[in-house]
Amino acid sequence: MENSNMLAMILAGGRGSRLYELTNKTAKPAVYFGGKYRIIDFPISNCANSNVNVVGVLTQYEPVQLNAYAGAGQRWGLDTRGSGVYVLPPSQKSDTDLGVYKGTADAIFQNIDFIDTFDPGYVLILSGDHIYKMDYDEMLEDHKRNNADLTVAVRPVPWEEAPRFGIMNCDMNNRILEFQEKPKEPKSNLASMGIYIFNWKLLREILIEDAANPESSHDFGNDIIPTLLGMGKNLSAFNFNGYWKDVGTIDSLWEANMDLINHNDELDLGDQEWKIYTSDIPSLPQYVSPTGKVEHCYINQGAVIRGFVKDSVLFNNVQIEEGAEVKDSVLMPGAIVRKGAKVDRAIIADKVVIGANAVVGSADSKNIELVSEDVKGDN
Amino acid sequence: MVNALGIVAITRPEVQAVGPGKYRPMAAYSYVGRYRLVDIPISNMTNSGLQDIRVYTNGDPKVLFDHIGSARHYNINNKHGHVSVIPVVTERYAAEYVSDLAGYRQNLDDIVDDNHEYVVIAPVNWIYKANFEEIIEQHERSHSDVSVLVRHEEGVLDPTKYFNANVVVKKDKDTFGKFVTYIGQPEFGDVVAPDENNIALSEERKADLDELGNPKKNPVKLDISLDTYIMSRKFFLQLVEQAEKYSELFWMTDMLNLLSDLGKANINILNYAYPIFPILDYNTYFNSNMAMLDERNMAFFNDPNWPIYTRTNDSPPTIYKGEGTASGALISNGCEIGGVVRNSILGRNVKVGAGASVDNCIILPGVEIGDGVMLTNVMVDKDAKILRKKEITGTEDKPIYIDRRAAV
Repeated sequence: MENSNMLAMILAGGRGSRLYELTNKTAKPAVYFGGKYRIIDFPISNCANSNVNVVGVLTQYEPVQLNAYAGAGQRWGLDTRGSGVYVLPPSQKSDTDLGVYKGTADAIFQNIDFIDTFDPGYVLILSGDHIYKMDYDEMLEDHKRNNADLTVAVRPVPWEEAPRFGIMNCDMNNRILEFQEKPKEPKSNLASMGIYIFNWKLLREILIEDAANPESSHDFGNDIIPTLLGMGKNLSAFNFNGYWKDVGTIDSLWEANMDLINHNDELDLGDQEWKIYTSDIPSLPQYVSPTGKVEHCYINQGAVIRGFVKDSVLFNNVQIEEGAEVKDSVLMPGAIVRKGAKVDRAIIADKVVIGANAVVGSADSKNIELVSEDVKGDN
Repeated sequence: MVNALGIVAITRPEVQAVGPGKYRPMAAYSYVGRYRLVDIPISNMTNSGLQDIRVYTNGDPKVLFDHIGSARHYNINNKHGHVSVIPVVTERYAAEYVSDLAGYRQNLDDIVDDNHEYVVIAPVNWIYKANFEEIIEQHERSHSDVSVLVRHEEGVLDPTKYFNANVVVKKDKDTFGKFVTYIGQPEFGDVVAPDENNIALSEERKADLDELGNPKKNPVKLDISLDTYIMSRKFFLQLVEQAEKYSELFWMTDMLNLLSDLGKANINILNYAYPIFPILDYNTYFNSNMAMLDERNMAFFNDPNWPIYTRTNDSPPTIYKGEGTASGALISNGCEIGGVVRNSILGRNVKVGAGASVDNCIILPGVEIGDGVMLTNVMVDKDAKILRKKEITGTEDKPIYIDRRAAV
């Protein structure tokens, strides 16, 4: 397959502290999503499907699990000649003393040598914590057609929410005139999705300049985009109207999981033309026993259901014992709900055991309860 | 690593499920929703530490090439290990006359060039879980030429389910009561070992019918061959080379019986003490699938220390929509369930429409079952669409079969 001449860099370094214990032992992009996947499967599968064959994953916090996961490129078919998934933690360089990535732009700056070895025409910058399906090749075509120096993917957000986003003000030809980070009075409702295509030659120069600037926070939104606008470069917006969700909080992670049940056709993970790849765990198909009952659920293979499950997402090897009730919840791999226990509006982390007759979460709680440690039952 | 070459053998032509057998070699038959039969012997081999495996096939091999591919999903290191698919070539005879031994003969160089000390030959039509490393050790201790895996079953109420099986029988060689042990299909007058009071299966079925024509429930003891052989590669080579001299149509069992008879081979019967699930015809294929809905069998088959590997299709999890629900069912990924699924097995990407009911059925991948359709005791082959006919009911004894890609 012909390479698209574009290399992808996924910013997966975020601590994800708003996901609390889910990210204690694992970086946010490695967090489980949708019964079967990890968040990072989405950008990497999008790359694989878009013919972007070299993917760098920039990690910083708790990278061990993420490294082990992302480093095996065959999961996404990215292990053929000329393709690969590379995990790039910060490393000491001979001439500098850099131990951490100081910002999104700095993370790319520190990997200039890595990118240079592939000599790409374009570099695609992605974030590792969004759930969406997008054809980056189409975005690249748009970038080339507009003769742009930088193309930013944007999506319309409700006007009242616009002050929470980086907003792009564009002319009729989608040329970006102005960028406002979290504006109080937005002039547009087109929010940046944190997906950028740069001409590598230009980005390389700008990153080197930016790194030398002590005033800079080394961030794409705060520093790089304003600099390019100031230089009068051609910045173009690429409109995206499909399903997109930031899963940075417990509630939004829960909601995105529920979307798979309630708005299944929007993300459509069954699309044969745009599969999301992930690791396969050898297990039987899911088993619903004669005592089990399932309603309105999204359930992966290997799950065993002997109790009642409603409006929930179940990962592989989840076990629901007889008499247990699970509603409006997300149960990550290997979670066990013992006999008679009740789980409502909760995310149960992987391998957590909810003891017999225990009660977790409640139907009228405002927030979703995260359960990341075993809950004792009555026996 | 175990010093043995694994061979997945072809099945005899009479062993096949009428229906599914039209579209694929037996090795590629679907099993318990997400597997193909070939996954079981390959997983037994790789779990036992065998890394070099040849899958012989006597039908259209395309589907096996796709399914096995690089074989990475079978947990072998594909640098020093290898799984290859070998289609058996038919030149002079119709496919069904080409025996397993003829297949090996066609690929003699491959076996000559191999460096393993032993060969392990396993079929696709017996579902069992065997550690070949231990079995090779037992074979070594026996100092025999060939070991055959045999399951001793007592109290078999319905021996017809083993109708197509090779069993250990005693043949009255000269009609003067001089019995010789023989592994194969019993004939009239043979004695089914080990109990010499048992008469041959074929005769029994005629003799033991009640007034209504149903078989009488006389429990029978059977020694059932699992068509699984362990021998040194050297002996295997000799056997393959010699077979042609006796008969070009000889199968492995024929050759072993002959050599044993001539005193040229010393055959050891190795007892396999765990559950077995035969696939010998359409009914046993149906029942050995359904057997996995029994939780004891499921626990045996779904052993975390002995995983059954298969190729992933990257299907998403299954969604239950509207009133959709299931009970007593094994359901693969990628399904959309809008109706009620009971006591059934669904392959991946099956759609069950709203108000539909699926009872006691085996649904192969990609099937669409329309709104309000009621299926009972039916096997639906891949990619069939059942939209217009609203009720299809088979019996437990004779589940109805719906063709691949059929529009009903």
